[in-house]
Amino acid sequence: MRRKIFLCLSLMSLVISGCFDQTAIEDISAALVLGMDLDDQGDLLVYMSSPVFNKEAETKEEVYQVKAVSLRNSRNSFDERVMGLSSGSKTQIFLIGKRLLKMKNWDKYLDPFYRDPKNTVTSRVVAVDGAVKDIIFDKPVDKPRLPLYLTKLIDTAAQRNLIRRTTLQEFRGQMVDKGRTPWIIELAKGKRIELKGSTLLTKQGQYQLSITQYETELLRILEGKREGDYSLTLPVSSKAAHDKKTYASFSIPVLKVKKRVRYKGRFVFDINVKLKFGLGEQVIPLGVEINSKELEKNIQNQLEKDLNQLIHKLQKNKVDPLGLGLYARAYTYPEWKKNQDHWVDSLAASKINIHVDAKIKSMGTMR
Amino acid sequence: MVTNGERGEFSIFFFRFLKYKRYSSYQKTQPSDHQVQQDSRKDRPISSQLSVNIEELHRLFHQAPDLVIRNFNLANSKVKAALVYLDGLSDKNSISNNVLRSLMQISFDPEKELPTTVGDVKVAHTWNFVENSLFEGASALFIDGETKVFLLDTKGWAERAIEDPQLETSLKGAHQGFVETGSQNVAMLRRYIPNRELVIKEITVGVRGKSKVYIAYLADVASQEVLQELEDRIRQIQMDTIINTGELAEFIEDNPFSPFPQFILTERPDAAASQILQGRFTVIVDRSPAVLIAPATLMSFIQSVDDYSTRWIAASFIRLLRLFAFMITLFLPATYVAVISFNYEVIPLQLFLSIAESRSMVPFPPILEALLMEVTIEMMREAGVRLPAPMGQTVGIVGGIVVGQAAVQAGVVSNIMVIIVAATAIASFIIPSYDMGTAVRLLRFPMIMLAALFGITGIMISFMTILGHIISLESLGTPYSSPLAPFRFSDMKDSFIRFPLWKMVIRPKSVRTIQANRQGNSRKQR
Repeated sequence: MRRKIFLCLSLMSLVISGCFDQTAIEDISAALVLGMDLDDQGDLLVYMSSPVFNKEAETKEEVYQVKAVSLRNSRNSFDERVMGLSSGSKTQIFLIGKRLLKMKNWDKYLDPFYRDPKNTVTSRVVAVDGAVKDIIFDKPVDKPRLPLYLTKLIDTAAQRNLIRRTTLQEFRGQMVDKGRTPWIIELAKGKRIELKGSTLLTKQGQYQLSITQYETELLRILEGKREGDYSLTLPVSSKAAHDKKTYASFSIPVLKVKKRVRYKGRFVFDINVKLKFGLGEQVIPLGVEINSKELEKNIQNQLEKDLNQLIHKLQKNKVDPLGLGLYARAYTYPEWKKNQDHWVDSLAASKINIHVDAKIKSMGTMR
Repeated sequence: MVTNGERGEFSIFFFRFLKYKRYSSYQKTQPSDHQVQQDSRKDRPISSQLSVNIEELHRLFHQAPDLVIRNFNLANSKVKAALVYLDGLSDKNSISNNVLRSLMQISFDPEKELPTTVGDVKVAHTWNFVENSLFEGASALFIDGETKVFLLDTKGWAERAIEDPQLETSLKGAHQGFVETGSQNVAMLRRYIPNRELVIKEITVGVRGKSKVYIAYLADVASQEVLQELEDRIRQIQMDTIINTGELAEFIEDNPFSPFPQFILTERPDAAASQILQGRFTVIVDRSPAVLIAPATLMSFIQSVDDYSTRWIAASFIRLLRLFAFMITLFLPATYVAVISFNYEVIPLQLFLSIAESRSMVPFPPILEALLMEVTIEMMREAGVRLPAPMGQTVGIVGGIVVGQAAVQAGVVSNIMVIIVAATAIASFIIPSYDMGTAVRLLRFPMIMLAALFGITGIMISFMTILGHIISLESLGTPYSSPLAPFRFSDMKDSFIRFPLWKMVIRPKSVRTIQANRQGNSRKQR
């Protein structure tokens, strides 16, 4: 009998204790895109775009801009305006306005996303070259809803290595780790929304440098990640077609990057890029034939030149998106320990040798 | 048998209160006084006077219009005799041709041998025996001046022809099913296993209407221990009569409060024979076309006879499919409810949008929506089962239109829910055993409720509970979850993947056979 009573009580306690944190999916106003920016007075503006699930609503998206002191504080303001409970659990894209990026330590605002496990850390961090409101209030008629469009845009571009997809979690790693500086996506709106390569930030999270889509691709090559495919177009000079403009486009199916570091009064990095490329296009006049040896050499030299230029640019601007500091820490720890608090300065002073070894893998299906 | 210690503290704590006390003092009581009295009255000896006997017959079978008493004189004499039988239970052809004709035409000495040409003649001296034999379809020959009665085997009643069993149709197996006559069913088993080690043990069950129960097994293979347990349990039954094998199963199963069936009930002789060859026991109940197979394991419910006649790769695929269907039935609706009411974060973005969109029109909370649809589909299933085929189609069409289209258009349920419910229903019918299918269909309701209360945590709670229960469950004292827990490596050859037949050299270990090997090296090296 006691057992039965116990059973009944525990069953009842199930019913009573359950359900308290239940939120039905349709009652959520999921902030698929969140944006942060500063206004003219330097106050924080938070933007949110969330889908509306109702047949009667004419536009399927609600977008709001509120003034707030923090992200969590802005949630209440959103809840005063949107239909459901605003939630950061499905946030796909985090837009950061240029004005905010120029502020030091703006990343402190991201705290609720790291602290509250109900919020996601897989959203993509995107720097906006301009104001966030230009992008978030945009309603392209030939695209699906903006969050979906932006997410797809970023993910597919990342597959071609035009950008580097940095999630909130990775971003925190880049901020906290002394051996590297953040590297995030750059988005801009001219006439229409477009990706603009990458934004590189300083250790304090301040805006430092924008690099183009081509430079981003080179940086990805240096990173040595064989994900997605690369598509590079380089000018090739050829004796046969002297002054004419000739170009070759190629993909990189085989890529191996070795980074080595020594310390000889300063840090010396040797970066060996070994790649095999597949020719995808050759823009040369008819009848001219470029020797494959010549082509290999051409591309190798051109790549080496461009990579060196890029590295110099990074050194000059005192950013380390590649995380060369990680190598320094791993292989030359005593020296790293002395330099770790001003790593980017030491990097600027270090010598970086880049050697490219390019080989043809395929010339395509025609000669 | 497995002791509590072996089963572990965990299961004892959780499941002891579910455990059924089999040997209660109530069940051990002796036959009632009333019964004893009745029996002693019937056991009186037969009188030598025919008229007394006829009177006694009338008294025993009062209000029995189907009792036929045919009075006649034996051939070439004045000796009176009476042939008694129950109309409908006996073969009239045989009575008139093989019994009455010879008795009336050929003179004989009753002390020696009867001139009848029936297959079996028994002699009885007491009323009890006579009565029982009459009920079994025998005819009783009373002769004036004799204190014995000749019981002639003239059984014959309306029988169904052997057909393909409806519930367990097979594509490649035999197309015959058991029928309602026990002896016929035994014969069918004999056809599959013509071996003298196939032993058939007869037990009579039922106090009022005695029904014959046969336990068939291979004497040199099957475990005596398990047999003893099975026999004890059957003998324990004190019931008016056993109508169906399902009733018998309910009396003898290990845990009657479990949702899972603990015995396989089949109508297929080939399935039964193959189980016997594996060392299991088959219980045939007279008057029921279903045959009980014990001991069973969880895995045996996702096996089907077709598996063994299909090539092993295809059969393995189908097995895995069934297991997948099993999981789908159990988890899909619950997961859906949990995900849309608690853990919507785990849904990919595109799916999130489409689910939310279709959910936004529904005026009910997810749990209510799910229960509504699941109950509707169960009602449709049940309605279809009992209706004759032409009307059954109507149910399908009406249900399809109402549930599939109108309900969604009216905004009562969401599109996704319809998909979930339909997928679940289809998956639940893939499980070959009807009993197991029903069990799983039933279990998904508490799972849905727990999912609605606690989300994915609730699903885990119910899953662990079910798992714990299965592990603690026994069938005739052998572990139910056998090839998995306790883990038996060699038995795994016939579980998720059906290994080639020539690889299965030994019989299932979970059955505890005396003789382990079931084949030698069957495949020629090449």
